[in-house]
Amino acid sequence: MTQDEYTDLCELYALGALDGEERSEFEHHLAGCSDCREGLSRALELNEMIFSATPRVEPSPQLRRRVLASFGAQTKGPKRAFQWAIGLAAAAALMIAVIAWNTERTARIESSAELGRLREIQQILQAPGTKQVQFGPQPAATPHGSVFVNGKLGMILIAEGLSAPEPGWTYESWVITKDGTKIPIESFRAPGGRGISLLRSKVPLDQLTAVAVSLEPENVPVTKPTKVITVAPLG
Amino acid sequence: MAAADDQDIARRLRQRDANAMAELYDKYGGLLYSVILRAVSNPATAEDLVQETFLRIWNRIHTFDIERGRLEGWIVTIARNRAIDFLRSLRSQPGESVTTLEDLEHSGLFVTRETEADRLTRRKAVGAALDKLNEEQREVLELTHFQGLTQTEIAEKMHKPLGTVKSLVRSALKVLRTSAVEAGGTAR
Repeated sequence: MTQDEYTDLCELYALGALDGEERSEFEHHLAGCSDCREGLSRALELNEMIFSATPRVEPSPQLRRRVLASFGAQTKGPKRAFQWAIGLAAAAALMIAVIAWNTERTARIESSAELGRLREIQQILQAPGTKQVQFGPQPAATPHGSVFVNGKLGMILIAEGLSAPEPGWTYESWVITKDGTKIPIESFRAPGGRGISLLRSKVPLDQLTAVAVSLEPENVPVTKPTKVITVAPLG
Repeated sequence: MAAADDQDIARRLRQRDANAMAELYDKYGGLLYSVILRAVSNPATAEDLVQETFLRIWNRIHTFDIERGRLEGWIVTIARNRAIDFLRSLRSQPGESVTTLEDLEHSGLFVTRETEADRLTRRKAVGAALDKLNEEQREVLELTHFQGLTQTEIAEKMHKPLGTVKSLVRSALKVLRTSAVEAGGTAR
């Protein structure tokens, strides 16, 4: 392939539009060709101009709220009737942003599954019927936090002041029913001492008395709590 | 020189100022949504991908060169690539690995070489040149830029020989590149 032919491939490479063999050959050449690296940078700029020429379509106002809530950013103009719910959501969204920030250090929040989970959490926090129950003493060194319960959507446990588990152990969340049955929700990590757990299904509030956090051996099926760390009464 | 307000937004994002995200969204959210929607043609999916794009920006802003970087170029490329990765995952067979476009989002590739005014002039010229493309050239650009198809895939889709598709792509890009060069004076 001649230099001119390589130059022609810069735009296509910048789009990820080269097929396997051609792509490999271009990448091999690119590693040692400053002209093509410059060409690639210019190609990205040309592509950007093509993307930016796209006719504008305005997204829904809800998208702005949804995106910004993920980062704990302030959003303007909430409707008065829902201010209390948004206030609740804002406080919790800030907590999620902190958790997201902590999570970033170990795993990027980029997969669809992680995004879907964050979205579910956000939905519960922003739903008008969501109630917040705080638990535990407030000194940061001891486990404390909040449970957000929505009978139609699910429940979120946000626990703080958790210490790092010993190797081979992980945190597990539970719901406790009126007859004393303990039902495991999910295992979770607690980077920076904060952990978040999501119960997806509808919550029969009248059947539940508490939410609990325990430490469990990793990779072992849980049937009952091994080391109970904290219990949050819901009543 | 990078646009001053973009520099300020990028600097505050690096400091984890969540309200800078609101400014970024207000300035570019419509553009990112429009680019993604053009690719995926589904408003709900487009909204999911916009949120994913902003998360990626937040997660990677520390790699962005505040003094020399071109914020708009970087984020619009991230948005377009999220849409293309999504479309490719839909087209792939179960178990087949999908090549992602992450390598092409390295922020160091998005460097400002000219003034904001010069860049806007060149962008306008490229926009006008897009209208001069013939129907086939426009179609291949839509397939490369907004559907993420390779040249081989385009040849199959258009029922044309691969060589013909390569010529069409090359000629379309040449028209746009030339218009950008002529408008920009010193640009290649």
